[in-house]
Amino acid sequence: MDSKIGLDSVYRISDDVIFKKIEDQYVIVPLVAGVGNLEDEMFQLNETGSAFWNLIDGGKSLREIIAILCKDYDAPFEEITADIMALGQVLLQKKFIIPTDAE
Amino acid sequence: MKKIDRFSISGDDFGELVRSAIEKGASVKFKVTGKSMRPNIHSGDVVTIVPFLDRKPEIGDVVAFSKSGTRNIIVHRIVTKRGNTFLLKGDYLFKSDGFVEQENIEGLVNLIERDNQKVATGSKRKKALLSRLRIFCLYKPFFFFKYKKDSL
Repeated sequence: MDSKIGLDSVYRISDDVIFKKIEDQYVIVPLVAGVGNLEDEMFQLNETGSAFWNLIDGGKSLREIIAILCKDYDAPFEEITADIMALGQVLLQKKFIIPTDAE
Repeated sequence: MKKIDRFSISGDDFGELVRSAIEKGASVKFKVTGKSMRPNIHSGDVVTIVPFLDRKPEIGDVVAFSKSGTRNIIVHRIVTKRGNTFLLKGDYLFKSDGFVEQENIEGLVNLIERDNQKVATGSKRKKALLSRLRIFCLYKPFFFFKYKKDSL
């Protein structure tokens, strides 16, 4: 599997995570062998990260998602791109998201 | 993205996360706090909750549940059942949680770990009986008082 995030790649949320939106911020728990460790393995996305997570649907490319976020947050493309690529890389490495073309 | 601990979110939200996992057919593990299940589960023990996939809750099972109208998760034992409702109680407590609908029972505790060691659970029916007997211990002094009064 390609472990480098791609601007034109399409990603979907892995089946091996559980997530819940809590006060506009997602909490994500990976499932390891079907078990979620609610003691040591809980991760929280900030507001922008949560907006990104919300848009990962297995249909839109990162470039398309970033374009939507640029409109919503009224921020420069380069700035949002840098933040999202960095976050996307972490999410990909942790296998919270997976590229659809790998399936 | 930052790592958080369970105390960063409310008990209700924690309960929702547990429910999300169980509804997905997954298991969850977390540390329990409090002494309501002593001597069988200590504060700080890690319990693993699994969904009831191919069986119904039984007397003696230690389960994760929420009381009607609430969302936070409690880990206590089923001490008796009536139809589709279950009387739940902490082993250390004198008072029960009352009868709880099956739909409010989220999952079964199938593993207890203390200091990274598996804790033997023993006979669950025997433990359910001992737990029920503790309810009557609370009233015993009153029975004794009534007996003494009547015998005068």
